[in-house]
Amino acid sequence: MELDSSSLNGVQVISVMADRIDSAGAIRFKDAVRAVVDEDAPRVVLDLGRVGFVDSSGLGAIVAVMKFLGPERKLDLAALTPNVDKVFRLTRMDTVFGIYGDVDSATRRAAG
Amino acid sequence: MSTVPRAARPGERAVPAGRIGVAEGVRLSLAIRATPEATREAVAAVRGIMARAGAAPGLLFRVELVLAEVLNNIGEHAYGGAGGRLWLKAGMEGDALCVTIADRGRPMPGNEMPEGALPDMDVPCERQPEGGFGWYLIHSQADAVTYSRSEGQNTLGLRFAPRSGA
Repeated sequence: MELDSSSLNGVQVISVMADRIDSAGAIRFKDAVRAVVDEDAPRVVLDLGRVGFVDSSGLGAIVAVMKFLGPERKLDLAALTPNVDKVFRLTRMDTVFGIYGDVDSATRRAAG
Repeated sequence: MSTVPRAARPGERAVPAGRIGVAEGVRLSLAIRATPEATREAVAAVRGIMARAGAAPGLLFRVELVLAEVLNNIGEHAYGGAGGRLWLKAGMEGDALCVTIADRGRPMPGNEMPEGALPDMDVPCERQPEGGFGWYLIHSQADAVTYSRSEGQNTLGLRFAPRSGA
């Protein structure tokens, strides 16, 4: 799965360049994120702005990424599209992740 | 390819759209292998047909999510990743969209479908659940879910009634 990684306000931003994180892509998503995570990044923001659909497999994969980062490196989510946001709220996963309207506010908040 | 559902014949579209927003004549039927890739294609195809038939975005979301969960469950649990076949039929019954999905894999545990409670998330980061959301999403987004096991076949019935804004 294609990802873009950049640094903004001292935070690593990983942008998912796919329109779905579903059962067919969940493992590739996890592997791809693990491969690009900067070991020294104190915080990571996952930019989901291009993702229009996440199912429970995709949700599980995002939780797996959070666990991979460990308790010391927080994973925040940014720019959720309406349907993805709905899945996070329905499963109460919005209480587990920090969720921000856009990448810029996520990195400012995550850096502070 | 068997993953492309048959759209309604032109004459079948003559009935005006029901309250749910899908023309009542729309019927579709498909047979696919229960793999993640085929599920993705099938869900996209159903979504496309429903969108062209005028379904509201809220309904599209519910159907897309529930079908993805159900089809993935069949591939993962009923067939254990072996990629057996499943059959899906959908159509309007009154003002509700009804979908029937059948497979010939293993029965659900105890011949009953899971209730679908959310997993406990009040736990530290390293113990957060990575699964267990599927049945919760199915039950919360479909208005009725039925399951039966008969003669080696699992049959799941789903009903999507109109909801406000969907």
